Amino acid sequence: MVEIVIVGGGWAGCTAAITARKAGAKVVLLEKSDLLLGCGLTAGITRNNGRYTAAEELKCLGAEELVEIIDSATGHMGVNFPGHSHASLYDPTMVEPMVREVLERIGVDVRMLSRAVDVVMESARMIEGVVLSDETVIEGDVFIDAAGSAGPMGNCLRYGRGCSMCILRCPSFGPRISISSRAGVEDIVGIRDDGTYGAFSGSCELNKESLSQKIRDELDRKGVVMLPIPDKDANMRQLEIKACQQYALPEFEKNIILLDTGSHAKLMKPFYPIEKLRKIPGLERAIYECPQRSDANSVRFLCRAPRDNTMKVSGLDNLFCAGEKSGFFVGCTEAIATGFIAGYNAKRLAMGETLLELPRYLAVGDLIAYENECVQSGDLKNKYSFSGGIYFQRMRDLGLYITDKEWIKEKVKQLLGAYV
Amino acid sequence: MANIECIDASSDYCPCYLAEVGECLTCSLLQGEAFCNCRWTGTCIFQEYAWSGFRARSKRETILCEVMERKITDDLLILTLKVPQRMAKSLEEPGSYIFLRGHSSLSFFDVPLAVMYINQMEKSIKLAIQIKGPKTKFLKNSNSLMYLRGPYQNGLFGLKQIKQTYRSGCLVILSGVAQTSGVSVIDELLKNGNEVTLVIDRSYPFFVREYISKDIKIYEEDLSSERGEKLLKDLISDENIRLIYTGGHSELQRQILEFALLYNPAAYLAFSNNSRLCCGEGICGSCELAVKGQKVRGCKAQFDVRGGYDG
Ligand SMILES: Cc1cc2nc3c(=O)[nH]c(=O)nc-3n(C[C@H](O)[C@H](O)[C@H](O)COP(=O)(O)OP(=O)(O)OC[C@H]3O[C@@H](n4cnc5c(N)ncnc54)[C@H](O)[C@@H]3O)c2cc1C
Ligand code: FES
Repeated sequence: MVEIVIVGGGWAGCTAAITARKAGAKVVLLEKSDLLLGCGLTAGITRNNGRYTAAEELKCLGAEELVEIIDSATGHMGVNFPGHSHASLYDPTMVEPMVREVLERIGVDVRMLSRAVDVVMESARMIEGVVLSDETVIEGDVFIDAAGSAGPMGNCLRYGRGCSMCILRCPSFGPRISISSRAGVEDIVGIRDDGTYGAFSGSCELNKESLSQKIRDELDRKGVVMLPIPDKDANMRQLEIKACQQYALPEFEKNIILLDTGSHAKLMKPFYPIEKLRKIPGLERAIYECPQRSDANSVRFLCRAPRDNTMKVSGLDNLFCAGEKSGFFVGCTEAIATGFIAGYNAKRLAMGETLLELPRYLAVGDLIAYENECVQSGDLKNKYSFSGGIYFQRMRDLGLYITDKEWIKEKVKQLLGAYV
Repeated sequence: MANIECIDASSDYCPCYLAEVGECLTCSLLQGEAFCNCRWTGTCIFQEYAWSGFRARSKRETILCEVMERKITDDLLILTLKVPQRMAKSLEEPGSYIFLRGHSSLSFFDVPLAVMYINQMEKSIKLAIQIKGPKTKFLKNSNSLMYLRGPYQNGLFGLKQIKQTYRSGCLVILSGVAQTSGVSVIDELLKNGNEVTLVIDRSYPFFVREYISKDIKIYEEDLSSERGEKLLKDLISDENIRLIYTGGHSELQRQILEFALLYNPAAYLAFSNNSRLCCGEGICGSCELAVKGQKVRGCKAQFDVRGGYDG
């Protein structure tokens, strides 16, 4: 059986593992920390705007497991907040064990606390194995770099406001590395509007118990609470540093927007010093759960691999990429979409079959191709998400934004029919 | 590229002077690169650097020590020095060494010396010095006060391998004045439940005998003789041997490497660091080695010696 080795157990890596395994490959999934889902552990917003379409497309394409798990952990459905319609708010902490169960059930060899530190090359274009921090070498036929783009500490320090001890916990589990660059392919680096490198994560998680009863009740009822920010604190110039351009709207500048993601209340700001936060009525006792530092957040998007639309890394014969590693993509649905194609094609490559590109009349196919076009033409500033920013605008313009499940099913059915 | 780790990474002495000039062994940012790209699985060195104000962290001290005892037989001088408790504590690891000079000598008289034995109660350390060249002769002639600079740790290559070996068979081969380095290695191996066999090269007096546990099997043999060679081959070939430490001259190390690769390739190897150590801080360059073609500072680098290296 062919062996596919995936580095990184975030949404992208988990999806790639499930897809490759279902296609019949032997799959090893390496995760440096003691939890799966990576940045996804602090997510929780899904199906907002175009993510709805993408989630349905993915379900029909055969990536239903994870989409269904997310749906089952959803506490609020059809939530609207500024710039966003029909969001589902789910609890990522509930989802993690469920994802683990699926991986185990279908027989993915999940290795936690396994940090990749290097690669061994068979030739200039072929990876032979991945070296772990204890120096064991995990050999494979095909590899997938799904190590994300967040951190490590040095990047957070140099291009952010210091390590925020985010969910990836680099000090405990060691930093992320770029597998593709270890294999000799240079990373593409994202920039902000002012030209500095990388972008901040766009939200932080508050302990729900630390909020006033009134706010908690409102969160329970509506899933969302908006609290005006005192004038003098309103302009902290946070919007331009955020990765999530879908939240770069004036309402997010002038208000504290809290979303109920089950275990946490999600605060839609890259950071917000606790002193200032506690001046806002109802938040006098607020406490952060993640990141552990209220004036910083992790820095991301410094290491996009050059790739084609099959998700294969350019310049190498047996490495694929997925998730934030594969594009300036923000979001779990986006990671699932790219992980799906990467896992699928990894198996096809190993079997000597031609690789698949998703057609552009599906949102998932168009996102992957459009981001590539933009980056190749030199745009390193934009981020791409089904849920907002330039890409959601494009979905609307091209008629790719559909919320009718039956219609989406029909579209995918036609596509699958064409392949049979 | 060879996997080089820095002995001082994440220690009290990290980041060091090398970080200030973009020569850190570990951190890509402190090598002048734009982004994080390190193999190190420990606390972030760049973070420590930022917290220490973008300067090297604490520096090693030079302290004046009293000589408690001085014994000389032929060309071998054994010194017992009184040291502060924190110094004694920080010299416990295998491979620990210090620099020593007479109290009226200038710093370039510093002699690197492996710590042979530590008495934590008495707060004293024992050093063995073979009187050979000008530096050691000056040391022999100096009086009861000496300057000690330390602590330094890279007195052997393969510390990780030694510390990772549990409840296994281990072979320790010692020759000449490098015997000193074997005492703490044997202690560490015994502490981890290993069974230790010691081979002593007869070509030099077995002066560490009194510091070594009585429960280990000891062979004494002239290792340059044919019988010595046969003994080494036989012992190395034993598949129960998981680690071989060689404290001795480079010729002997080369021979052990050859035998190990032929007869017991799975065993870990560790060697005494025979580089010409001068500053110990990675600055002067006198200790430079080539590991798989990559130039490294012998006073800082840890690597798997099975891949060989050129001194
Ligand atoms: C604070 C925050 C809030 C967010 N909120 C939302 C939201 O509400 N909705 C949404 O859709 N998206 C959200 N996102 C974005 C979304 O979480 C990410 O885009 C997505 O999870 C990326 O997935 P990934 O698999 O590409 O990368 P990651 O999640 O970064 O996963 C990478 C994994 O690889 C592991 N890894 C790294 N290096 C190594 C190595 N050397 N060896 C082994 N393993 C390694 C990491 O530990 C990690 O588990 C949020 C992101 C953040 C940071
Ligand atoms: S002893 Fe000076 S650089 Fe190593």
